[in-house]
Amino acid sequence: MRSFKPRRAPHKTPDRKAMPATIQIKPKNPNSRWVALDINNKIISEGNKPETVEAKAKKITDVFFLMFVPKEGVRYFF
Amino acid sequence: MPHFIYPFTHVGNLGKDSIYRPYVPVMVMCPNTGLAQGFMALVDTGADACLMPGGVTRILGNAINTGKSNPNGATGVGATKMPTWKHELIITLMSPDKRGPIWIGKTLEIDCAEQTNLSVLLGTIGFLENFKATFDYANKRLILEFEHPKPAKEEEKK
Repeated sequence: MRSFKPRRAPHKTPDRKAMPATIQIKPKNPNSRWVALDINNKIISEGNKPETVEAKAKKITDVFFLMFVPKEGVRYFF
Repeated sequence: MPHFIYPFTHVGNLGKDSIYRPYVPVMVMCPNTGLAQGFMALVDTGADACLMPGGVTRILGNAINTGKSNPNGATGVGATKMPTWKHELIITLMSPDKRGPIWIGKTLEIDCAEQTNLSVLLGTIGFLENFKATFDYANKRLILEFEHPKPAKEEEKK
């Protein structure tokens, strides 16, 4: 009887497998300074104040991340 | 030493002048109120300490003025002095897929500014001092490495 030798699955680092090369955030309104992102980096709410964005996002999901959106074309020096 | 790879984040339309920034997901918790909120925070190697915008304290159940006033304030490029208040907060670094915490910081007094048009900044004191950070701008990713603190029993044996 012919012996069967299972092939080993190629090793993949979990970080590289799960994560995209870069993350792109593009709010619908270019004047929105704050956005709420879900765990898949999708914008679920946006606005000009973190409190209002948080209140809107809370109605959609419990787990979200608030992010300040730098104005396009403006050079920021932190 | 465990390492975690965070892809850079780009905001707006892609173009020649596109800027990719090193943002990492963090959970900021207020031990006094027990409230926590996730933020995408900018890793800033030029900042001496961490800085939170005014909205953070309000979301975590504290008015900005309830913290200790920092008489020295904060200064950035242009040498403009910005008033800040110190609030006790805990910063937790989330995994790159945002599904769980990978590093929990100590309770620290972190400067909070009144203005909201500001990103959550992770500086040296309270955050970067705990990591070996590699900014791979060519491949647009940030690699954070850290050592888990040793259990107290092992330290006693030594």
